[in-house]
Amino acid sequence: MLFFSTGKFGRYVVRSTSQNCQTKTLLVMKLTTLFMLVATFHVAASSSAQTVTYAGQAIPLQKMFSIIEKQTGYVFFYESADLNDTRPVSVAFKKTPLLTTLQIVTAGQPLEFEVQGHTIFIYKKKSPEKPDDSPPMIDTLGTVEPGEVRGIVFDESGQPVPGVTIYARKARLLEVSDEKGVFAFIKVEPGDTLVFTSINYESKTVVAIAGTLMQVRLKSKVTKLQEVTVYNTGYQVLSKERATGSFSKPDMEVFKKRTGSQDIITRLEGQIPGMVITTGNNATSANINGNGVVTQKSTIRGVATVTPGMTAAPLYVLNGVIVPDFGSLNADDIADITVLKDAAAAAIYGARATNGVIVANTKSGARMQRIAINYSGYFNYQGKPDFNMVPVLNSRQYIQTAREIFDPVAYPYAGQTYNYTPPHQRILYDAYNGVITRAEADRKLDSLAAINNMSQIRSLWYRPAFTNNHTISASGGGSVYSFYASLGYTENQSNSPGDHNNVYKINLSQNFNAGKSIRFGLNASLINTVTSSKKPIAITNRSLPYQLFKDASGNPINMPYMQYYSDSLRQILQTRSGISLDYSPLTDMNYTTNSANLININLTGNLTVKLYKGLSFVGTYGYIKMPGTAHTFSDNRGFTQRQTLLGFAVAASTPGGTPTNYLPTTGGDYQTRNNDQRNYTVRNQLAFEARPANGRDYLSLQAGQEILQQYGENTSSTVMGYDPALGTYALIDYNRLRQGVFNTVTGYGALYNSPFSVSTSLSRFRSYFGLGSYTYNGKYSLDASIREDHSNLFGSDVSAQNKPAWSIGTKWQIGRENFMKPVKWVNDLALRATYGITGNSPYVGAATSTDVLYAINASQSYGAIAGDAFTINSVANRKLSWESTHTLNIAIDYTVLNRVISGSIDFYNRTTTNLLNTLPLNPLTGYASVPGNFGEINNKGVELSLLSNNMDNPGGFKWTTNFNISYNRNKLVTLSKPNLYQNIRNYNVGSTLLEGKPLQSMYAFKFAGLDNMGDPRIELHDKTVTKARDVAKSEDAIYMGTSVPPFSGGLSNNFRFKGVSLGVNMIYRLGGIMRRPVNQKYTGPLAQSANFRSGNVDVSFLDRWKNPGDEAHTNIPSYVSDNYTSYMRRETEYYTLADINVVSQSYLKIRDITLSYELQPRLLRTLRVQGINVYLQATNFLLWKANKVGIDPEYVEVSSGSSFIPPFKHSYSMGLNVSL
Amino acid sequence: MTRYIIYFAIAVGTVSCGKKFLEVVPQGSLVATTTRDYDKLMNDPAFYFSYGGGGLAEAQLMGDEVDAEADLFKTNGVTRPLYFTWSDTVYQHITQLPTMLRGELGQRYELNKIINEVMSSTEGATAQKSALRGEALATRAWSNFQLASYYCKPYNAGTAARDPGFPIITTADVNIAAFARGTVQQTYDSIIRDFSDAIPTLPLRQPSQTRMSKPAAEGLLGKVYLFMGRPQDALPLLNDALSVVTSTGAATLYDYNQTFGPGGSFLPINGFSGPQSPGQDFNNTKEAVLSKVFGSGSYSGNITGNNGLVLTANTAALYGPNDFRLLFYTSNKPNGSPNTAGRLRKYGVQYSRWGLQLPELYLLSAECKARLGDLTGAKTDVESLRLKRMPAADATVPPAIANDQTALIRFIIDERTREFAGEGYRWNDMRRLSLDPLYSGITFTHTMFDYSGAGTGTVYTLRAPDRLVLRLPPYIVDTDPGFVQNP
Repeated sequence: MLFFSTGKFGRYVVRSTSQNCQTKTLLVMKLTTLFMLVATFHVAASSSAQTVTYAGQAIPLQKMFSIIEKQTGYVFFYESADLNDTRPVSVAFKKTPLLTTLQIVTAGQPLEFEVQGHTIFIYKKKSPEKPDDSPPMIDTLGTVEPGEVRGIVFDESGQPVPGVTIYARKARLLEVSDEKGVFAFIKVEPGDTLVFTSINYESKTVVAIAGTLMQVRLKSKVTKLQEVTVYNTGYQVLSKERATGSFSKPDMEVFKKRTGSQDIITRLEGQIPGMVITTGNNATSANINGNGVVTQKSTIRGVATVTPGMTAAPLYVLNGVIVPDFGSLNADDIADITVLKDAAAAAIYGARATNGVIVANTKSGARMQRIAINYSGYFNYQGKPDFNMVPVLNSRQYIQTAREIFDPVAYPYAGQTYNYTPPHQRILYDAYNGVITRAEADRKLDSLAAINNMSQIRSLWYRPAFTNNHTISASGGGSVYSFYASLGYTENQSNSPGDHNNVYKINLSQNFNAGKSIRFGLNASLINTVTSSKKPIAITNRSLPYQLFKDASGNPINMPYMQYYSDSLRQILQTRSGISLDYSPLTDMNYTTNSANLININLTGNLTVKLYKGLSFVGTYGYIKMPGTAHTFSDNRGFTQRQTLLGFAVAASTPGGTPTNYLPTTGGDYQTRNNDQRNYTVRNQLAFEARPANGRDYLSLQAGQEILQQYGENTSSTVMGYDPALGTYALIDYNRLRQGVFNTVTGYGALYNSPFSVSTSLSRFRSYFGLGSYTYNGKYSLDASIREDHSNLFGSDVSAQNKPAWSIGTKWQIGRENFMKPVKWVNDLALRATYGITGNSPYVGAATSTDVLYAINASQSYGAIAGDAFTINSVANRKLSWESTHTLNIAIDYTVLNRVISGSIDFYNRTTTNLLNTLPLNPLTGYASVPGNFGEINNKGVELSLLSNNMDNPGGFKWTTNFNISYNRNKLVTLSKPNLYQNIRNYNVGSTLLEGKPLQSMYAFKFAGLDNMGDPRIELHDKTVTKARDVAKSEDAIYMGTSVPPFSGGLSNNFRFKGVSLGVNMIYRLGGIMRRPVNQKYTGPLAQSANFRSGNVDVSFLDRWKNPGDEAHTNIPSYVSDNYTSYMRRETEYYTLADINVVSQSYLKIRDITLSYELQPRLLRTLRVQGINVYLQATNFLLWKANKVGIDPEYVEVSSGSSFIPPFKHSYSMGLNVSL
Repeated sequence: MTRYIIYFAIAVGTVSCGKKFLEVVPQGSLVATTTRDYDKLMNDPAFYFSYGGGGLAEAQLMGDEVDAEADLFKTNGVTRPLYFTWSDTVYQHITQLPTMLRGELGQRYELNKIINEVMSSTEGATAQKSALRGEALATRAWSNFQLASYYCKPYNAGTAARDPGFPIITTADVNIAAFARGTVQQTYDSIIRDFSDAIPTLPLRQPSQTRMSKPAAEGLLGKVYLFMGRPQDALPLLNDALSVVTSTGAATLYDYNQTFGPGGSFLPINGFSGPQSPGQDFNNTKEAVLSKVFGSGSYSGNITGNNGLVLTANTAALYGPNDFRLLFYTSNKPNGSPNTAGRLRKYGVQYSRWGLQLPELYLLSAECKARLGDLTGAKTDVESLRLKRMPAADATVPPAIANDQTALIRFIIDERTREFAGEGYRWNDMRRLSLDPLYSGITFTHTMFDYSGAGTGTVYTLRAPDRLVLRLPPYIVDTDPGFVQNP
């Protein structure tokens, strides 16, 4: 069978197949199995020991091995052919230690064994046997000069060890042992100490002895097998040494402990060269159906698409199946992540591979492994938002400013009927209109100026955020069955009072071996997210600074001014409708309740059938279902509900009569939303594997077909006048209310909500693919892949999609060539080169080849009196295809200095053609734009990664450094010719798409100071200075750089001493620019909108131009109250988008710092556990920033300069891992 | 065993999906094939209801029958004062399109699609297909007439062959890169041709007044002829339209003597929004020969709105004291406080009609008759409307006017203002009157009063004849470099 396949390659196959084949079964079965296993784990764990008990008749060695496997949990590894010449053993053991057992059973056999970790390797004895006890012939080494330190390094078997690094501590000299294990220092004083380090041997420190030949014997490291890194592409598993493509893997230890976020992508930050995690606002992808956590957006090797609807995000693959995102995955279940970056790595994903692919695989149980139980949990505390990042006016400054800029002429009180008039404004109007005296107004304003509501905002509307996460898992396996199972629970407390969010996770992965030729795997996961919330106001420190929410005696404060009616109109409306328009947010938040229960079921099945010799059939079957239900109850006592009711109230015809209302006034609206996502993937492929040239070469071929469907459905139904206590509701005349009710107290009321709505989305792909690899002599590898995708996303014109994605890659293991043998400091060296084409597919409905109509239901559309209708939804556009990216990748993989330093350097050149973008049209066609293919983007870059084992003292101090840096140069080579109308300054300053420049390039006006009215002026390219609106053309805006930092990367250091380790992960981004946050208030009333997120202004408003002469010492334009005058006289963007407000975005941050402690073996034995690890983590420390204006660039929308409030300053975690 | 495994693998491996797998039409979408599909396309509410913008919203600000109160007018958007003061340039920003132009261009694609495709649709009878094509043709003609009234010079037979027209767009294709303006003559020729082709195919009455009927197309073509200065061509069409509409009862006039009388349907009058008339109800088509409604009430960001617009003193003086139409006006400001200067604002009409209203059909007919010398017929027509708008005693046209052709024409044109003031109709009248010898020397002014209640203000005079034509927005001109901008 495959598991015990012959030959060296078999070892790699072990890993590959076990990871590639995960499958799923029925939920019931899964749960039952899991609970049974959990219940029996403790027993199983304690009964397993490393002794063997056996008595019986003579049995074949093979059987003996399996008995030992069962009893010890150790796994045997051997080539079946090697056992051919063995004889049966007749033995009796009683609690005999494993090693003794092994010695006895192999005694007299042509075999030898080696124990590495939990694996026992059985080898055929080498013949003829070499004399391996004697040190090498030392007479060939020449004589040792006096004062010279010279020696030979050999291993336990007496073989010379080349490539050992020898460091003379006092002399500070470094040498490497040569092919014969010989090293020499010319000038080392006697008494100096030499440190011998090597990857495969334990370190050793000895005193240097001059003048005589030193003999240093190193002990092999038995703890780890030479680690074989494998890349799982979802289609195949490759060993690193054979892979031609550009792959990266994160350090899973860092990944595991990054508990500041549950998101998979966030945890990769700084670890994958060339992958940049998006920060700031809009940095998360929409989470389908709201299940699980949101996935952070990221880009791999630069952005290669310009269409807003097109994703620049990588493709997500879980256990070989494409998934919408990683939102519903328990991070603790992840075994392995591989990032596919170049064409050779990713082209097998065809039309969706352009932005790179992230492949995650969940854990699975290994065969012949005792049952292991693992617990991991953490508590992460984020606290409250950091309001200090966005400074605004305090109450005193605010009232003072309000007085200064109050303009009752431009904004007459008569025009305020349907405007928002906050208290301070009302006082100012009253004083102006003579309703109250100046003194009275001053007294009232002074009292407002003395109130600061910040502490109430912090305590009433925010609470500390935290996450509480626990996962318990078990894994194990026998000869036909193995499994991994986990139970997870996460409690998320958000900042928002009243929110509850609990997530329950179950994962079960099982593998079956049915007979010799069939392997079957099932992986099933179920995530259940249960949330509920109320409706607290969305408030920031930008709200009115004086408005409290609770009075001194704790009663909620009423603030009826928070709407667009003047006081007098509000009184009239209240009287006529009989509906109160009072509003106190603290009471109101309880009138709306939301709850949701979302389930995510993910099943993957794998089938491998060995057909004939190297030929096998591999099937992968994925099914995802995400049903969810959500309920919202909006009590009619709530403010927004009352405002709706008002629109449907008709005043009594006689004074004092009862108003009538078309809507039920009691109860509330009850909305039920159901959503479902059903995706399936079916992939059938044939795989062929052979080892020509007596096993020196390797050939692999695969071909297959795949279909994929993603179907989403949302329905929503609403009843009105619902009484939650009785379950009753009112029937209303939707048809009539939809058409609009006239002559209500507000004039007209129309019902916008529908009793029922449905929306569905469907995308389908059908693909054919092929893969081939050949490795010659272990040194030269060639890979090729091809894939053709057809989808329904383009309407019916499938022929436009005949654009295969393909790749070709080569690798040369230079390090294995004979001419490299003398170069001792180089352990491995390989050169890779790949080229290929990948695609990027547009979203559903991006374009159609015929006019697609949209149905308008008459009774649903108010004003649609003519009856049911159609309108054009999307116009025909036949010339559309997906974007294709041509990627060339050239790279070097290296391991040097006795395997202390390893890494790779990649150079890439990606050109994306046929860019999909909105193609501007002649507006006379009736449409401003359609999606079209045109234009070209180029991304060039270098990625360097380096892993260094700086210090590795056995049993002592260890220090490793992981460093990566990537440089990306992005250029929009061509774009459709901009229309003439775009040749004005808005196109440059406002646009991020300019030919010859990077995407997200930033232009600014050349600021030329304020004039004597406080209006900003700019210098045009012909040196004239102007403030006139709309005079600046494209050439008058100056190029400042790009807001996407070209350099980015990470630097991690891990220090370990005994069980204590300290990990410091830093990330940096260099070379980008951003607009700094500046005052944006130049006209209009101070507070214009009845919400709690605006009304206050940037503190720099105080420094604006106020009087002639101020232009000498301020650049902040004047405030002009009247919109019209301000608009006609000047352009304030000449300041806000000026060059003086563009600053460097570069920064360096400690993303997280983790201190952990691993319990030492002696203690573990006492506690009878396998391992305990506790850790503390703190995040988000800005170490350095290039800007001098005190901004953390992660909290600024870099292209606009608007800042936002960090959800927390630092987060702190405490975690525990226990293995039984 | 191995053999079975191979069979199995081949069976699974060759599971191929039928071709239909990729040919799926998303829910809620469809491709037009049957005649009924095109019929429903013709029902698109975009053809008859512009809630947020569109219609005569720009013309509303440019008619000289209104003045403005600066305090209530200026604070609502920056383009409104530019229209009101007849500025040369209204739109400077790149992709801004005036609301009516944007709406009409979008619907033009749909109309052309119907015109060009409906005859080859399935399942319908040829007559039904022809009627649908006729509806689309007539609607396109109507739309071209509206666009010409903004962007082309008023029709002048002497210069029409030289004056730049509005491009004639007859295909539904988004990939056309350039259009030619053509001449005013070509534009009007295409309007007349579309109407003429349509009329024989159209039904006398449609199930909904939003759909183009024969009398609607005739009435509109009559209006086009009259505005071109060809009343002799207009009259037969208008006569036919009126007789069909009155005989089928598709449209009837409200009698304000009843609706404002005791227990009348327009009562009670709401202090904020006026009478409960069709002005408050966009679903009402009682007076419509062809119903097209646009939001003409207060500013809401998209629509320019009538905030701050008041009747000029001259316009207010056109009304007799018993004219019920005065009830759609108030001298109160929006907050209920009085405008101390007593100027009237039209608070009772939130939704205006710009298709073809029965009152206009009467007035068009009256004007044609008056211009062709049939003074009696003209008097009858105009009184048919007036009798429904005021007590009978006031409705009669005074003999001094009724017997004087010029005075009667002027009276009828004033009646257009009395009926439609503040709703955008005046703009097109201003344009044609500027060429009318009867009105030679006419000038147009607007007063922006300093604040509501003040007697002082700034007077703006329309720079005729250039500003009787709007400049094309830069978006249009710059996209199509061959375009000639209006002076």
